[in-house]
Amino acid sequence: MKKILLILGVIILLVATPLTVFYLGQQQDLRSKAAPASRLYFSPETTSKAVGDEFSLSVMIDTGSNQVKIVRVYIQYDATKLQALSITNGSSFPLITSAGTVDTPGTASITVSVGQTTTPLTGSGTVAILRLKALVGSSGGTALTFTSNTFVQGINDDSVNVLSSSTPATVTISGASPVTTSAPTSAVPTATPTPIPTTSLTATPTPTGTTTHALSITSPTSGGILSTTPTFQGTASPSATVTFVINSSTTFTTTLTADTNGQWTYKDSSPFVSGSYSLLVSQPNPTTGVVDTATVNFTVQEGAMGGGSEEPLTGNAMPTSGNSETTLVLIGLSLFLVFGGTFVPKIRRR
Amino acid sequence: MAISLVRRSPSKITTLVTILGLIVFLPFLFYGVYQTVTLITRAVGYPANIVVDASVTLESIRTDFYHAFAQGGEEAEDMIGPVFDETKALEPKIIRLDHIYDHYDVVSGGTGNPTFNFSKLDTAIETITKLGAIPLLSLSYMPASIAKDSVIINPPNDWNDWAKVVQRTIEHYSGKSEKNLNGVWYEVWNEPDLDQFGKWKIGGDKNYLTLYQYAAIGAKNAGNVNSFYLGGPSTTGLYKNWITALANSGYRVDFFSWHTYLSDPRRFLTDQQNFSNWLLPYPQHASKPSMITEFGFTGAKNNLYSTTYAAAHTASVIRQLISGGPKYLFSFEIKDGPGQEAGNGWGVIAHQNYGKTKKPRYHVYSFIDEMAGKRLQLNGEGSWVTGFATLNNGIYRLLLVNFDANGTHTETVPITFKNLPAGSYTYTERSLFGKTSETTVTSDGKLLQKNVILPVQSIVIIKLTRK
Repeated sequence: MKKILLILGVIILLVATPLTVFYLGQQQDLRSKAAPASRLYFSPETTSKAVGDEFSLSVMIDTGSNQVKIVRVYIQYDATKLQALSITNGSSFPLITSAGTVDTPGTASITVSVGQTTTPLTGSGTVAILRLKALVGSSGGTALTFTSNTFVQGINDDSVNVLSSSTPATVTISGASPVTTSAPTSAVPTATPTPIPTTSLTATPTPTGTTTHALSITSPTSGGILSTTPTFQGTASPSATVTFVINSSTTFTTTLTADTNGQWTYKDSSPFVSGSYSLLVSQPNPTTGVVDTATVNFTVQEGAMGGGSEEPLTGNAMPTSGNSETTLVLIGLSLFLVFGGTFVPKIRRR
Repeated sequence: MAISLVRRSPSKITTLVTILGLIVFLPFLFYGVYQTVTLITRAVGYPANIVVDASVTLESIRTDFYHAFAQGGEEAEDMIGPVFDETKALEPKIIRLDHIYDHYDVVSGGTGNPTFNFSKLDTAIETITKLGAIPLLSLSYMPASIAKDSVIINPPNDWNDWAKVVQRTIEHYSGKSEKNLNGVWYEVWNEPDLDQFGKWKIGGDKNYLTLYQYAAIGAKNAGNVNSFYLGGPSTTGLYKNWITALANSGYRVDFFSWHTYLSDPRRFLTDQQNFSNWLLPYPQHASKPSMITEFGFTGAKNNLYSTTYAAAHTASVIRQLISGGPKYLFSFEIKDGPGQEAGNGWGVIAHQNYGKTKKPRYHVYSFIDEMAGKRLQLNGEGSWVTGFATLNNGIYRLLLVNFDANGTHTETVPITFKNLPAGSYTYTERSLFGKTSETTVTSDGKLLQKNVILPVQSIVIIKLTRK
């Protein structure tokens, strides 16, 4: 009996040991597969562009040992040096599960998926294509980075972001640009647009010592509040013809010629009506041949001090009716006095 | 205290101060009121300045997702049949029905012994399939014969009966030996969070997860069936706790659904982004389709549903979802209920009692279909005017919609096509509710600029066809 028990014990040991080793090995393999081992990077990782160039960067992934189905990409960049124009999915992720957005200057995001039935990605692939515009010179280079809410979803482990590292891109921008152009933003509320004056605008080139090929609007800046007699300034290629479009509830279009230093200035001969406006300037890029554009939204407000060539009065553009707090205080005080005037004498008469 | 001070003051001085105060501050009061009214009534936002880069193509767009329609249960019968031809012209890909248990007498018998008769519901489903659409059946509400107190928004007396009801429904329509439909969508309940539909919650006595759990059991027990989809929670809005609760439940979930009745089209985009983000920690669910199984600008009946307001809102919502949108976006609803002569029903078609009139929204879907193609890079959308551009077979198209929730904003929009290949083009400007104009334009290969007048609640497609 003892012998039988001994033999049974040995058999159990012989069978159980390899099974246990195999099982543990499987578990270890699963864990290693699901470990954060995926890397995001740009292609190219470094590039040199001229001011005004529009170009694409590919967002790439090396999944490592992971199987990846979905990637949420959040990219951050310096909005004074670059403008994101669009972002779409790359070839390895045919399904966009959350639309690409570039509306907020300084950020671009998109969520892409391999789709419900497609095999998860293992290895390298293109996640997204980001299109950018170089705004101003940056000899030291300007970086594009992935923010911490970037997410690479591996399928082997629930709720684990398998992104282990990411590599930023560096864009060196050649060409002098003394001032910045801001991307248009829809985040700043302003008043209903009102008709712009129908007077013609006259180009008044203002020579400076700076030579540039950058198409930019240096004044106003995005969201700026201007007086009713604004001055518009910017840069373009030397002697370039610049198309100038102002939109409100009506549209005004004209062309002007930049001076030999690439500077242009518009000054209206009659006042603008209070309201919100968008300005678009465009010119063919002499280097690439494609058309460059720059846009900015601004508000004209009666009584504002900003002439267009100055800094905006405030970052928070208010409607033409002015400061609401002051208005409310005035109303409160007025009501107090009016009602005081109405009722106090009555009380006194009792 | 103030009164006692006044009492001690000479009356003439008090009167004088009062009059002076009135004289000085009344103008301020009027000015303040005027400015406040301006603040409140004036819509806020920026005008558009559209730039389309003809040289930058993005992803292909889908034009099928908005060919989805829901029909409410104003009548306890096949409501679509009487407007079959009008509905057919909408080219529906999928049609949703709710009230399937309380309007179509499917279940009788009693607790522990439900019996089934699908003949009345079959009529409605056959109308849908004859239209070439897939049915989406909202499994609602609780059959009175098995419900607690016979109230259709209550839980059943026995949850196994509910599982059986769902099982038989799936077997009947998806069963290979019965209706043999492929790819039917089954949605567990309709707006469970709403009072009138039971005010179910995540947890508690009326736990939606229990309702869903037994529906999933019924789905699992359905035998000899074609592929089908089971999902929910079909809430009145997108709620994180409902979505994640379902994702965490461990039950079969093939799709996630919700309703959106909001006038701000951008909220539809935000919802999609939130939904996508919330499911990232759930690899088993993250690629599951989302479905907005009802949408509109308000959940209440409203005369604006019979105007271009509704049409522009729909077009504006479609623009927001044209990239990364849901699997289907269901317009609510196909046909008005009876007794809506005032025109305030949700339908895109008036009830047959009122001439089956096609409302403005009816025409939006096929109009936008023309935009099929690869999306082009577009910048400069405004607060009211939004749009997207496409390239298809060498033809450039730009859709612009001016939707103003306040109903007043008209805008002249400068549009710029840049890097359009040099040559002569036929420029066609087609307004959905206006005229169509055609001219010849020439591109120098760099810039082509036009101005487009967009009256309030208008939709325009601009087409550039190379000669």
